[in-house]
Amino acid sequence: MEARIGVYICHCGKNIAGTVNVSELRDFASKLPGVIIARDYVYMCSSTGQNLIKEDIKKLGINRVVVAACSPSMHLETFRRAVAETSLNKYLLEMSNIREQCSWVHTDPKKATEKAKRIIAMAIRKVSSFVPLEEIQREVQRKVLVIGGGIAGIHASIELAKAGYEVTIVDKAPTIGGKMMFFDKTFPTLDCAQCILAPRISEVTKLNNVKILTNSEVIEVRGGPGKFHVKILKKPRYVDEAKCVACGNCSEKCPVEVPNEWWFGLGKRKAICIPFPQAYPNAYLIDPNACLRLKLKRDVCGLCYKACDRDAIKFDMNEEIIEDTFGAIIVAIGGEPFDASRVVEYGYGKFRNVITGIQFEILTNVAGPTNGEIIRPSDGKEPRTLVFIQCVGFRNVNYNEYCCRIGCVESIKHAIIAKEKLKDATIYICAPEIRAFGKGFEEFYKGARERGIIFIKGLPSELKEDHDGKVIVQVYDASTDKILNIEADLVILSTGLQSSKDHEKISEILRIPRSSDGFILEKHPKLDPTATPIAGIFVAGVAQGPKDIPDSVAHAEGAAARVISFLAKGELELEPFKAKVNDELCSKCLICVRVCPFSALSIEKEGSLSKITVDEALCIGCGICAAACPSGAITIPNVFLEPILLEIEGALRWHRCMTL
Amino acid sequence: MHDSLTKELKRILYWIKPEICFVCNRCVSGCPVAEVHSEYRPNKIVKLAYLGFIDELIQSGIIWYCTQCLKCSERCPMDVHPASVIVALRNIASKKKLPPEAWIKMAKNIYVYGRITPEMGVVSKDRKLIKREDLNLRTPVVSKELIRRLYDETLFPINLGD
Ligand SMILES: Cc1cc2nc3c(=O)[nH]c(=O)nc-3n(C[C@H](O)[C@H](O)[C@H](O)COP(=O)(O)OP(=O)(O)OC[C@H]3O[C@@H](n4cnc5c(N)ncnc54)[C@H](O)[C@@H]3O)c2cc1C
Ligand code: SF4
Ligand code: SF4
Ligand code: SF4
Ligand code: SF4
Repeated sequence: MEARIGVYICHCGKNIAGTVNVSELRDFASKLPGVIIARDYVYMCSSTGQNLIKEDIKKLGINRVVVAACSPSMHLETFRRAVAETSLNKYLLEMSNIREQCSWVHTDPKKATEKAKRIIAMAIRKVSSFVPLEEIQREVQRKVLVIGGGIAGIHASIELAKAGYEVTIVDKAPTIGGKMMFFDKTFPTLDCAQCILAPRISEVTKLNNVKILTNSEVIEVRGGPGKFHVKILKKPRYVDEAKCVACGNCSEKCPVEVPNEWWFGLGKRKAICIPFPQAYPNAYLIDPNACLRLKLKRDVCGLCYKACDRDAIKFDMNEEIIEDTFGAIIVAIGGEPFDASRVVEYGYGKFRNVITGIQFEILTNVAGPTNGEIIRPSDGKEPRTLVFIQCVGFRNVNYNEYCCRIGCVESIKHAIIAKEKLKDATIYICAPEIRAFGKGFEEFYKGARERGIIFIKGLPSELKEDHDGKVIVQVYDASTDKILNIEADLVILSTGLQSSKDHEKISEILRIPRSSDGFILEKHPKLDPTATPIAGIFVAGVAQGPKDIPDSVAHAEGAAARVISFLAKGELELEPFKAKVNDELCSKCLICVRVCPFSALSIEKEGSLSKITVDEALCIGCGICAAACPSGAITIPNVFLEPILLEIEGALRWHRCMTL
Repeated sequence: MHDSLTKELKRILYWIKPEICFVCNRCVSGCPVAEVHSEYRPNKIVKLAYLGFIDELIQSGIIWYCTQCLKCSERCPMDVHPASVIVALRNIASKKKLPPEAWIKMAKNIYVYGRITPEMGVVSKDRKLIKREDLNLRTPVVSKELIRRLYDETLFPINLGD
């Protein structure tokens, strides 16, 4: 089939046409070999733009299409659908990115236009080698893995389970519930946090098709959309979940005390402990790094074992590796507060009465170390003057440039709770400005002012510790143009929510990208906020970026809906770009088998001979094997090798393309 | 307008960023001058400069109060560098021959003695002045040429006489 190429150049409003001279580009393209027609249009993705392509296919017999526009991740599917509405095979289309890779990153119109010519010449040369292809149908596993059991993970799981899917929740903590487990009350309604969380936890644990693995982490993911083969490491709890009734007899006897990480160091716990009284599973666990017996690996202590009359303690529990296959994955790993000790001038970790927002949450929690009493950590006395400091570690080019999105309202909540508990305390909130954007937030902010909480328009430069634990806050208030010197009993640093090491780990294991703020990158910030760029992997809640509870829940329900529509048909259509091995050229050196990052290649016996086979479900068409094969036995249709060579030729000899 | 003025300031010290100040007021909270002088606000100087009130700033003389302790630059969450904006303004002021008397004197002293004040001897217990030579204290040798180059390169074009 001789190539009759149609070239369609998009202005993208002024996004492309503002920098690249589109009519010059069109004239250039129309003279290249094989090109029958070249057109430009203001929005090629609009229905009028798409019709231009469809009409030409019908009337001019165009049989290869090049669309020079934005990134293919944006609109490749749009144009493929348009082509598919004609008689032409939709894989005879190539997109050439002259926006993200040209007009957006260059300012000189002349040079940008020259570069656009090369980019377009590459696509025109490449598309001439394309052959028609058909999608591969693939059966999917109607099971979903949810990584992270915070409010987002729990919500998504409930929705999926109700729709009839099997769900496995994997949480690395010994309990599900996430950050909400720490809270006493939630903004902006001041309703009891546990009263809204507990029913959700009880609902998710009662659903027959939800399996919950705590103290567990995903360590390996292979395969692809519809069939992810997942390895989960379940760490030993050393206490049998089924037998333990959380009576706490063991913990009473345990002689080891260490700082309680669940209270962010504000108190102590035993080596055998339970993170929260309302934890699920409601069972104790032993910290192997603190327990004398487990640390020394000798037959010592064992006091807990003797104290437990239900025979729940099992010192010989081992790590377990659980393998399972899932059709889709939701990442709901939340985030973590900023490490305040990095801002040395605020003295966190050095000044005893400087704490963080999440520590304040623990102080006000009836299940916390003070039974909900607000005290100065230095002497246990009731604080008279409290100062909250906003944006610690955020809106700052040295730490996180983004706004933590919860700090302002979180501190207002804390200030209101403090005002209720400490009637005549003086409470200040220091902030450049208050961001109260959510539903009911502005009213909440007004309520705080009505209660007498004082807002200071400014941030202190540093904090100083005075005699008897007082913290001196010198802060400029722009509204009065005065520099105030506040002697505070308790200073609370608002450390918001940032991405964590878990984002790094999970993005590596799942091979999903992160945005520059470290959170999981969504497929499209406005139009596809719960999908990731990798098919079959979705994201929910704070894992994607800082959010409050209502936003996390809405996001999670969105992710669940996306998973349902992804798996509902029971089969998936996969792109047909899969490695093909020419057995006659293959020398069975097995280099390809070793280099494939998706383990899609294997060697199989066929009678007395052996043969390399490709698991099309696993192959993503990356081309690594094809490039590595010393015999040149591997090709990928429309990708490797001829298309790439032609593309390179287009780039290097673009100016001579006309005479090719 | 702001663009060209900001550019002029940036030509002097390229790392300043008056345009991204979001008025968090951290610089004012910690400034030792702001503490004692109610007119002096580092971020106000930054914004005035950005909005083009450069003549006003230079005439008022307020830019010479800064101690260059650099606390504002150190703590600024946006790396605006208020202290350096002030240095840039001082450069413009100097070009227009407007630094305060004391500054010109200091600059001249550095040129002659290599330091802000001349070398002095030591006052003994019975309040007699002992000369440096008598104590065998070395008086540092100053390279006027080097200091002149330093002034030229830091754009401090003051007529030093000779
Ligand atoms: C101090 C503070 C106060 C707040 N107060 C309020 C409030 O009053 N009202 C409000 O609306 N919002 C509040 N928020 C925000 C609220 O915490 C979040 O919106 C909510 O917790 C987000 O839920 P999530 O499920 O996305 O994440 P999380 O609650 O963080 O849950 C994430 C879960 O994932 C697990 N996990 C993490 N990494 C892994 C991994 N690698 N493998 C497996 N599991 C993993 C964690 O153990 C955790 O269980 C507050 C936040 C803070 C920090
Ligand atoms: S063995 Fe001893 S140290 Fe370990 S958890 Fe039991 S009581 Fe604590
Ligand atoms: S939410 Fe408030 S505290 Fe947090 S970074 Fe934004 S403005 Fe600062
Ligand atoms: S510290 Fe920086 S950002 Fe804040 S007001 Fe001063 S100059 Fe502006
Ligand atoms: S460098 Fe100048 S403006 Fe900045 S804090 Fe010090 S005295 Fe104030």
